[in-house]
Amino acid sequence: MTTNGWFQIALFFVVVLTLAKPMGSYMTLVFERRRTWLDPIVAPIERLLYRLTGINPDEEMRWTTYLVAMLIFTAATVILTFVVERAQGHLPFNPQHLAGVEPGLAWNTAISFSTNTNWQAYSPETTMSYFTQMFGLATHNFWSAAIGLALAVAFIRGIARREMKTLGNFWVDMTRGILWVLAPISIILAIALVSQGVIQNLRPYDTAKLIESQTQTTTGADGKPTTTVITTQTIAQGPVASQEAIKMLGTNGGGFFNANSAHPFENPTPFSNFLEMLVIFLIPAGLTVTLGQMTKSPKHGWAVFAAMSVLFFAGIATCYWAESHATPALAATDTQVSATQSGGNMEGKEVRFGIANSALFATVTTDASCGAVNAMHDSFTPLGGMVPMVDILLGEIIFGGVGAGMYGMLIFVILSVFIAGLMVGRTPEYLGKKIEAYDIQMAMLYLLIFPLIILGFSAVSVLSPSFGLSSLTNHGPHGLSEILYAYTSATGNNGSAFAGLNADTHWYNSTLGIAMFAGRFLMLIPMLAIAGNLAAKKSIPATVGTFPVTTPLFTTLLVGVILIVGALTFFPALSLGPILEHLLMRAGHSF
Amino acid sequence: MSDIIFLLSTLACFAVALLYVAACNRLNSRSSRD
Repeated sequence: MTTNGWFQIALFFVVVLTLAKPMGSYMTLVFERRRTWLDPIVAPIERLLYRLTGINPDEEMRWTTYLVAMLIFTAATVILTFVVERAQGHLPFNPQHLAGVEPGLAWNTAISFSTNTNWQAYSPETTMSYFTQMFGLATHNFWSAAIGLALAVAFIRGIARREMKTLGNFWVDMTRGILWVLAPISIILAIALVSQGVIQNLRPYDTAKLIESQTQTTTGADGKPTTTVITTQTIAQGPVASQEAIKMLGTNGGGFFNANSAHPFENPTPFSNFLEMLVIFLIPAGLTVTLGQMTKSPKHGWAVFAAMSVLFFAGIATCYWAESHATPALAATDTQVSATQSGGNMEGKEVRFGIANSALFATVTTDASCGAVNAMHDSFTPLGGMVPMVDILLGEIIFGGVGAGMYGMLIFVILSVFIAGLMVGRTPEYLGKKIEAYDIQMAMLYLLIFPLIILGFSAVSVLSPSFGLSSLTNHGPHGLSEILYAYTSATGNNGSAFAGLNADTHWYNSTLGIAMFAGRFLMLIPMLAIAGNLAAKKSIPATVGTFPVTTPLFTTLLVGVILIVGALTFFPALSLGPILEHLLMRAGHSF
Repeated sequence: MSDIIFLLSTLACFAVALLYVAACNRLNSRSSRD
């Protein structure tokens, strides 16, 4: 670890902290339908959209209606994307003449992008046309992020409202999320990325002549080797900047290229890397301020921000420390940091980013449900790779995905308040609302679905040599980590991967698709049920027996509850995967 | 043929989600009565 590395990490956090309040205050104005400086530009577009679709923006929805509207919208857009992928060979903006996507992969991808996961069991540059990328996938980057934002705001309204049956209007929240928040920032960010060298065009791919030809030998089906001399390289092009901006801001993470943010056309410079990490946290950090302002308890918002920050620093410190140390296999070489080398474990990392910014990116992208990568997580040391996995296993509530991080964290807040109430033998209260049996039942449904899917599918996969283990390129504990990471990433709607697993098979396409679907919708349904129930409750005044949710004690309890729930649920699986791999690595075995 | 299967699978997934909404709502109504 270097001073320079820690300085960059600290700078990143200071900028996030600085932007949280203006961003959060702006979102409060947007979702309380108050006046903003963008109104003269986007308010007419909003009114036109409602007129064209026949939506009454003043109609309030119960939580059930809110969810049904969201589910119908998502179902329609999943089918739209599936059809676009299958028909892309007959659609425009396809200069490489790519054929329609195979049905299983098309379904997996449609579910993946609609759930904000952006798991990609394919190489985009050889599979998806420009039209599919723009119309089929980038649109979901906006929609799924706006839906997450809308649901988080609906949850906050549930906490803030008194004796009301409604949580707002889904169509209005989603539309305002796109027009006022996602689209304007994406446009500015796309231009900033272009200034750094991110490409934006609709040209056919370039072909470059290699300075030195390459010789490749492959073995055919008949067992005979074939030698090919490669003299040219195809360089993929495309409308990258526009997709890259919302990919990061919306915590989507699906790369335009297979190498994702490690590709120089997606993330060319240390400054573009800084911007990409920053916008991942921009909205989630701002939402803590929105929470405080909408519930009229700004200190509560900062207490939640503090809990997220503690967990963030625990993750980045562990990951940076682990990646700064080379594996024992490199012990005989010079692995010290110097002017000519980064030192530590540089396998799978870009030299232009180095260890600190690779570890920071991996931590940020998995704290949030982004899933973009600028380094290969599969090449991290066992403990370094465990950090991204644990970030997701904790529920991606360390700032978290757009909206999803906030409502996930609020479930833990309710659980913490409930536990605090049990400790002193009083009915738990949260910001003037009694937390009762139904709220805890729904919170438990939210928390239990997550490990059930991850551990259930992982267990079936590791028990099956034919359809589960056959996709592995690494065995032993690292193989288990690859499978566990895949289902963790899918269920957590993250989308990053330990790339050693070939997930483009019938088994993995289907089950990861189900995991993504269940990890999104079966979790947010009980979450919004709690919001609806809370909104209908009376407000009760705080007494001396009320557990305050604005103090360092609350932050400490919240962090403790998150860690204990995560550890109790996933420690056995982690001990058989990355922890065992670390111990074996120290003993000289690598996988 | 596989296109139809995947489209039906999608609809089935969302139908399950709608049933889940109904189940949570029913539990809510019963909880309120108690």
